[in-house]
Amino acid sequence: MSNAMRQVIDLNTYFGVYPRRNVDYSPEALRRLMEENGVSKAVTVSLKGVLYDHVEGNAETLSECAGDGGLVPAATIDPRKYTGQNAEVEQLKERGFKLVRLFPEFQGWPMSYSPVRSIAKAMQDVNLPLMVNTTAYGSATDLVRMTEGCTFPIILSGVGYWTLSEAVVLMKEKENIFLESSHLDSPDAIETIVGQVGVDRILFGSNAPVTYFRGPYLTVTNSDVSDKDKEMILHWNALRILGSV
Amino acid sequence: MERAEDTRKCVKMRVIDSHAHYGEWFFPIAMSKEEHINRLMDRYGMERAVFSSSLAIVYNMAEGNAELNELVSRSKRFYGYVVLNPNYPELSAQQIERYLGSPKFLGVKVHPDYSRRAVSCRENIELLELARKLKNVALLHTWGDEQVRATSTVADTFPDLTVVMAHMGGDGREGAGWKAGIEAATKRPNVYLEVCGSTLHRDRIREAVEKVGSERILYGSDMTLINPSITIGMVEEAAVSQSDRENILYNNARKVFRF
Repeated sequence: MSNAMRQVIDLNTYFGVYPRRNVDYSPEALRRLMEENGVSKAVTVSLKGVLYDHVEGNAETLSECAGDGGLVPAATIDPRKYTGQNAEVEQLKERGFKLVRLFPEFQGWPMSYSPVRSIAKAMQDVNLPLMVNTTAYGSATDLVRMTEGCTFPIILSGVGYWTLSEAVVLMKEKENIFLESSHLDSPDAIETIVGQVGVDRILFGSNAPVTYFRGPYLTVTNSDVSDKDKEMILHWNALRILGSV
Repeated sequence: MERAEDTRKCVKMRVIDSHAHYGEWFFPIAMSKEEHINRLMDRYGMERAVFSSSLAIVYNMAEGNAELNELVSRSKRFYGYVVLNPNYPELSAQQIERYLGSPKFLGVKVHPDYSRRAVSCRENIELLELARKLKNVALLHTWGDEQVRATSTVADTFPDLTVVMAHMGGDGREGAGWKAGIEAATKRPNVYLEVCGSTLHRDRIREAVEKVGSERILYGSDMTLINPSITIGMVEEAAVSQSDRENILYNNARKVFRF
């Protein structure tokens, strides 16, 4: 492994206010963190959209990312508020969002929640990637069930050692399933995925600033895969899935 | 476009891992053998690591401890904890007597989840009373408020025992475990906080250093279940001083284990 410098796109970041702990999640803190760690693009979402109101949150995300070449907007839809507002979903791409995220870990709904199926159907014509936290046993399986027939990229987030087998099996079954790397915490998780489903299915994410950036980054850069594979995970796969950012 | 520097094998600080495992896991982890452990230790600058047997924790205490004894006997940088199971008090006592006199075993490990018994149950207290006459360190798996209370009970029962609270008390969605762990440690000078985990909130190390002091925080990786990259990255990034990092990664373990 050389000491070459790398380009990095971080698929999993947040900004905003966090009422549950006293932590600085301000956009300035995020920008500083990304700069300190050499991240060229941070795909980010407003916590206002996650914890309060997705309409206001999405507007805040767009506003924060406007004119900042380092921040890429991700939208969110709160299934608890979704009664079939398809037009809202259909407009996300033209408004400039590059990714749609759902947050069962913050909002408490089960993956077998009917609004998830409805949102996925509405997204089929939009063709934006969808990223969902699937930390619990079986939630990735349920997500795939709820998005049956969808062909846009579906990115599993929050997969750790305990759900790695589930993710690998699903990725083998479905070509549109991808994995975000922030919670891949077992010593050879990267090698396992590269070996079993291919390097083009992993995208780097840090989950910062909720958790530390550097651990997930070292997990990728120190893994026993080729330099070219690391570049794919850190940069090129995200470019391919998100389009130009 | 800015780019990040590759940091592989660039860990500049010395590291002692106070929470490592040897054995297999019921997860897709192939990197569990001695050669892999050596590779991970080299990669992250680990001088020494203290292991407990996953076999002993999860299934068969005696078989696992024996397997670990073979491992630590083979390498100068490997050390062990004797795993105890309070459901087998007599056999646990035998394990203490068999291994804890060895200079390669530095303490005991108790994991309540697999035995389904609190670390503060009567049998564990009796076993710790026996063990501390030989080695005065106990690594207690601790995850969540209830287990923090149990670990605190052990610390109160044996004020001279060095109680290493694994995972700093654990996680919980918003860090309820590690916050309770820090609170417990502030009141008990014999409690050390060990830092490993999967989802590591970025305020946990700073808060522990501010409230407990870096002198009572121990680095642990949880390898081979968890990649040391996760916790090494956390300590490197934490908003604490360089001397705090050195205490956490190395100095404190030297004192606790008398290296």
